[in-house]
Amino acid sequence: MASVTSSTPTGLVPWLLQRITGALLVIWIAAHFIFWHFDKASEGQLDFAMVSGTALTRGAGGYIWEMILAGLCVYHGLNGVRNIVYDYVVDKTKVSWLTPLLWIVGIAGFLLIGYHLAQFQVGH
Amino acid sequence: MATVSVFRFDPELDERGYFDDFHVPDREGQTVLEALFHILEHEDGSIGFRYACRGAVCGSCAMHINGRYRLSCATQMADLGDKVVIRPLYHMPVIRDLVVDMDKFFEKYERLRPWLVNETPLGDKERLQSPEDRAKLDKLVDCILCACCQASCPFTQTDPEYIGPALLLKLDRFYSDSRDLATADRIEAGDTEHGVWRCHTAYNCIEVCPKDLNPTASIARLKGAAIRRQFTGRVE
Repeated sequence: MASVTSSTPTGLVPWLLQRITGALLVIWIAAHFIFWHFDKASEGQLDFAMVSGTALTRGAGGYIWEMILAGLCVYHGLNGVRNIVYDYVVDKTKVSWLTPLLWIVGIAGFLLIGYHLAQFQVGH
Repeated sequence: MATVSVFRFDPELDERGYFDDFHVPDREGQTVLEALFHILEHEDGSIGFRYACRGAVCGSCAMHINGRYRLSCATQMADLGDKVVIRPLYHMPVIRDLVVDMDKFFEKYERLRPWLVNETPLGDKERLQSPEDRAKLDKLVDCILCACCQASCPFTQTDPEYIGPALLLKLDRFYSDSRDLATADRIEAGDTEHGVWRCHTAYNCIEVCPKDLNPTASIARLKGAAIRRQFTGRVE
């Protein structure tokens, strides 16, 4: 049977990943708030010095944890942008450049976050 | 006496739509469709609206009445107060007044092959179905294609190619039918950028359906089938 349109890819994977990252973000952001804004904030003023000092003591585990949060945020946010554009543009071939562009922006943003978080690990 | 504001638009004469006010006497049991007939017969014979069965079965008289999509033949004037505002269905071109162009809607419908696909030879009897399998279709077969849900969906406006809630519910009606053998094709028909993935669960379709159907659930069922097919290869 002919589909109403024969667009490829179908949109299944972005839709599914949007839900998975959304569900994971609930856990990661909750943990982030509990750790930084309730637990650490009760020990003193939550400022750059405290964040960088705490990050040093958390080691690789803390770094990986924050990078997962960064990855989830970047994917969920940029996939949301793609979704909005795809909602409004009828001919999806006109925005075929969008997904590669968002991947480039997303990977660049993710690496930038990783670089800055790594500065805490090396004691800057 | 109720004041009825009716959307007017003649593409050959008007640059944009406007409203005409009419006064319709109160009458017990009067529906909005009957009020429109009163206007047609006594006040303005040029008013355009669509109707057929007058019994909430054909879906022809769906309109936007006092801020909500309803069947005009099944809506009592007494329930609407003294001021009634009637507009055509949204997201479809207006042919005249309250009549919208539904060609695109039915073109998309036809492309979904809305009939039972089963090439196996018919035996002595009709194709049998268990009561349990038939029960799965109970609500799905009630859709009268009035397009209230289609008009209320925000994504049929932003993406005119979006199949839309009414037609995806119809697709689910055949996907869920145990006698239909085109299951893979049904799933594929919904699994497109203009298909089930355009639905962002605004739930407007459920709110407005005059038959209390749930197109969102149908879309979710088709999404589940597409995901199973994608990752496990199972067509079911």
